[in-house]
Amino acid sequence: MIDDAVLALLQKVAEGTATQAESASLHEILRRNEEARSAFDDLQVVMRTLGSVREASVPPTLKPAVMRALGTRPLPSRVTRLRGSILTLLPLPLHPVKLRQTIQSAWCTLISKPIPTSTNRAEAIMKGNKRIVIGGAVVALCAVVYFSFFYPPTSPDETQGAIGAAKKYRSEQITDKDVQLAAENNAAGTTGTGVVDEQAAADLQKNATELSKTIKVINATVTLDKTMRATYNNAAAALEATAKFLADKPWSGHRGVTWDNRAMADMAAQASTLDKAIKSALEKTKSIDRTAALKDMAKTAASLEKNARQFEKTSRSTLEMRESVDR
Amino acid sequence: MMEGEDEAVVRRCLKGEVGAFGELVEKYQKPVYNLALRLVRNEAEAEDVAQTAFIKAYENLSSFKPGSRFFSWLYKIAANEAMNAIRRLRRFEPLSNGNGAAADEGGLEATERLDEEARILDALMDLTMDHRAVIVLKHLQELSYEEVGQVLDISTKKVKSRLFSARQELRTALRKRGVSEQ
Repeated sequence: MIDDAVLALLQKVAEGTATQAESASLHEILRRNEEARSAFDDLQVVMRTLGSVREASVPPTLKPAVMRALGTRPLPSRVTRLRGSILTLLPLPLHPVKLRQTIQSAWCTLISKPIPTSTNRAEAIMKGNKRIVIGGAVVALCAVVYFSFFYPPTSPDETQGAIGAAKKYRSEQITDKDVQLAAENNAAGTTGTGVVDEQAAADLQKNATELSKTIKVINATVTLDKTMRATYNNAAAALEATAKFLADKPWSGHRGVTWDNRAMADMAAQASTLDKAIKSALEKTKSIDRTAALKDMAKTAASLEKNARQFEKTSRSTLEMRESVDR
Repeated sequence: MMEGEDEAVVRRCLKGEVGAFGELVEKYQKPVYNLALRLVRNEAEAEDVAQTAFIKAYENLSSFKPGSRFFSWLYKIAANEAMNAIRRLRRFEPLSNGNGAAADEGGLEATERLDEEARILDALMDLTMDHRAVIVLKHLQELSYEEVGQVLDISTKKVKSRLFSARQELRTALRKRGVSEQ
């Protein structure tokens, strides 16, 4: 086992950064210590070998590719810049600074107080103007009265129940008309709500499975930041859950279930489009291009997740209602 | 371009002069690409790593602390990117027959493998990621111990001890690959 101090000395001498005294000291050590001598020899061989490795030349495409990619990206100080630019787009009275000045000016006019300036502001604050407190109390009182008696504003139509007969919901007896076949119903298929369009449900299941597979490929082959990866995984998970929910044909056994076929068909189409777009992105040779394309599609994935969750929630609630009516 | 000049360029970029970043790319593309190439041992992947490193640096330019060394900061990003690429390659393109080379298998590469330099670089691929990084930064990029420590986020003392173990591991790998003792 070589002592740490000897190791440090070995490295210093091999790297050529040792003083003469240190070199002499190491020389003495090497003469007596076989292990240190062998380590020193190895060290020298490694350093000579590595010294023979030449520097590789840079691919000529590197800089142009970087600069091209930067052109499509926001400026590094985008947060400050964006905030500033949005504020400048606001109409002048809505600009925070202007707005504050306008309110201050109006308030001061209302209570007959001189508009504070940088010279008299400190003095005004120190005086602790009682009128501000009283004015504030009046405003608060007005707000309480308004919100208690006049809010929200109502139209005459909305108040008719108070003087007319109350309209209550009554569940009708289920008739044969409630049980419809897809072919019989104009609303069936993918045009809107109606009886369950099983073909659309099957399409959605198929596309969800395909998209999940593609997202697994993303996970396996592309370096993405955590948020983006989660967006894709959440979309896949939500869609798979919906597909699983549909696989059980939860509408069976209930009569005349009204189903949002359009949402189902839209999701199937959205999943298919996203799947194709991801596949095309994965074919890009540069990982930078792949990542950029996936970044662009993350919003679609997030929207798909939202739609899938919403659809499942609405469908479950529809089924529950139907179940209670059936009972 | 000295360190202060790098900072001035960074300030120009932050003011919205996108083109100014080109000066930094021009200055550091060679060391960054070489760092990536020596770590991943695959030209296409190294180019990807270098590109991503520059783009990430640009996107995070506002987090660069004035007064610190730009190249250390950039190397750190590049080294992290390269290590991510190594992990990815290792996971999805298992190093064939344990020979430690993640390199292309084209005709040119096969010829290159006969070359001593190619064997040295292959031997480098036998090292653990930490050992390879420390060797590449110290010996091939010729950074000081302090700079290596900054890039790898470890103390100078740790750099020295890791470097010693890495050199020993490399010595064994070189022997295994029959690299002649010069």
